[in-house]
Amino acid sequence: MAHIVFERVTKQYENGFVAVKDLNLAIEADEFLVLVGPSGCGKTTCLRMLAGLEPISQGSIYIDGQRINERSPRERDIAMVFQSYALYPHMSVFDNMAFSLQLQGTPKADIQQRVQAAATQLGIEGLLDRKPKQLSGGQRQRVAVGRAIVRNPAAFLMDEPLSNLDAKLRVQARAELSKLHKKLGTTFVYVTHDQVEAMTMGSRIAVMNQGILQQVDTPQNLYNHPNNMFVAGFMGSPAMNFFQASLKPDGDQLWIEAGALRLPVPASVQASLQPDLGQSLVFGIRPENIYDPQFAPPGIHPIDLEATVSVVEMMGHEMIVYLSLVDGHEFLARIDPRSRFQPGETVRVSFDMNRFHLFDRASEQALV
Amino acid sequence: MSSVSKKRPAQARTRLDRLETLLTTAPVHVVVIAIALLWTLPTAGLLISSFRQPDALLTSGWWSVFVPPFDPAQFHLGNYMNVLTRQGMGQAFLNSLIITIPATVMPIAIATFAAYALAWMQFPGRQLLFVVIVGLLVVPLQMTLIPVLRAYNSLGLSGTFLGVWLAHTGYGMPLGIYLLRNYIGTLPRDLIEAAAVDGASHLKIFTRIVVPLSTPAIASFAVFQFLWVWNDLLVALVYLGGNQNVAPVTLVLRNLVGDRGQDWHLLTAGAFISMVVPLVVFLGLQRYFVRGLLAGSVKG
Repeated sequence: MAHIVFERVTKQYENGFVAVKDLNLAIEADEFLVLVGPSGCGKTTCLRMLAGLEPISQGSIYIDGQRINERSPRERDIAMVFQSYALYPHMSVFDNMAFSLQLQGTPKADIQQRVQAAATQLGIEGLLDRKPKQLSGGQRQRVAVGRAIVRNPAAFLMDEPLSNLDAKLRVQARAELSKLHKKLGTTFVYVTHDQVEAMTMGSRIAVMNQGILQQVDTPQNLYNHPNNMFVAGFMGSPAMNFFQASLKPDGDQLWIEAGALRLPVPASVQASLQPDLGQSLVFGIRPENIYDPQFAPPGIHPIDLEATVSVVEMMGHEMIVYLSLVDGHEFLARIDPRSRFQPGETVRVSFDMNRFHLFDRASEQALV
Repeated sequence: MSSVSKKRPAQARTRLDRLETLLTTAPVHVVVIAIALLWTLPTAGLLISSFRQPDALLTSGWWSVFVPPFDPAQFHLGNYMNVLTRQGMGQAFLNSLIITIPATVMPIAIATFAAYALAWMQFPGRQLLFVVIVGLLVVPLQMTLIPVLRAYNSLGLSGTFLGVWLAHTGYGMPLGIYLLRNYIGTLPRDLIEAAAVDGASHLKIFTRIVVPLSTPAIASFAVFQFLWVWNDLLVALVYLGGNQNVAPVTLVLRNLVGDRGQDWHLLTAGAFISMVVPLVVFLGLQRYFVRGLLAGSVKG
């Protein structure tokens, strides 16, 4: 178990490219922290700096209060699972898993017992004599995880370990990794570009974009209360709909005006929005908060409006509908599969005004 | 019914395809076989000559053995007996091995270490150093003979095995480093990094990961270097001088031909004897020339 702290960490490459900028992040012991972001956002660089595979340009990284900037990877007591698995092709599965223990000079009987235990835990005890090339993708992934857990390290680093698996196996491996984390109770730092992996596995998620940490929070908070437009748009699939908007008062009521949209602001948030009157804003609503009025659940705050259906994607358990407003602005809705929306039709849809987001257009920061 | 009628043209097509493949590949095969025959012709001539009587060898060409009537009695093993029992040949064989084995092992050992450092260790001037080493490939070794020999004379290394080992090591190193660095540089970065995270030092990464995965490149270079040293006459002649106690096979063979080059029945047999060792080395190392050593490590 390790408490990891990034303190004002910056990574600048020799060609001047800044991969990570002024990162402050504290990872609790026994936490499953997921670093997520689009490719090139600096998440893998963070992991590599933590592993000691990449020098740190500025700032410090601490493990359990000890500054580790100058320590080599082997002095950091961390294990890493690579995206490619990086199994040693000339060694058997047993030797792959035993490698780090052999280097530490662990007694043979001890190695035997620990490798055996890890293999049993991962269900690969029958594969110990095989070479990596005789294994399937899923088995290789387990061996890579096994190689990490035999060491009983202070922290596990994982760099997109599931991205080479097929969809079905990935879902299964996701659950297994979560279970493994609960069982081991060790710090996991997990890098992925897949927000589903982030949402399902992380105890907390750190969203990065262009080298800058955007927000760190629990999956639920991140989803419901994104700090800014990037986080709002990145988490969730299909992504949140955005409309350029402004706030207009009309008597006692505040209205959100966005092109052809005119939506009343619920009384509960009116007061807090007073300072933003007349500002350029962005109105955001997630596709699942837009309903076919026929199947709208009770307890929402529905505001109906007209839109034209352009495409309907039937997923079985839900329907993704591409809609456009009178002014041509397009948005997506995720509605009940029993809905009878047809392409080309003009329909009425309900926006749940209890679940909307407002952002400042210039700073892209969230207002409510 | 429809499936049957569909099958027939498919079969006809495969037959046509086969004919087409045959027609397009046949010229290539003919050319390859012709080149192979042409290439083996001198060796075949050498082999046949080595079994012929010295007199016959001087009066007619080796191809005359094919002129009927075929007479098995014209072949004998006398030339081989003669060469093997000649003074100094056994010693020369031993000398050749004493020279060649260290002169192969030393550059491999040093070049592999250097190649790893040049490929995977971060230090200032790494690229420049590599460029300089590759640049040394174009320096003709004849340029070095006089200065090195003078240095050897003052150090007392001329006429010693150590002197020849060092010379061959130096001459073989640029090619060795170049070949091995290029190979070792293509090993997946993830593997090296995984080993580093697993707690391996550079030395452990080198011995446990890089060397086992580089055996094809090391074996290729070993064959190159072994052949070059085994067949070398110039370097041995210059640094060992005429000393028969340390002379390798190449030097003794040259002396076998005689002052006026009249004894070439001995040369042919001697040449064949000296060819056996490199052949054994090549076949022995062949099992290391394998593809797919990296399978299963980083790719599916």
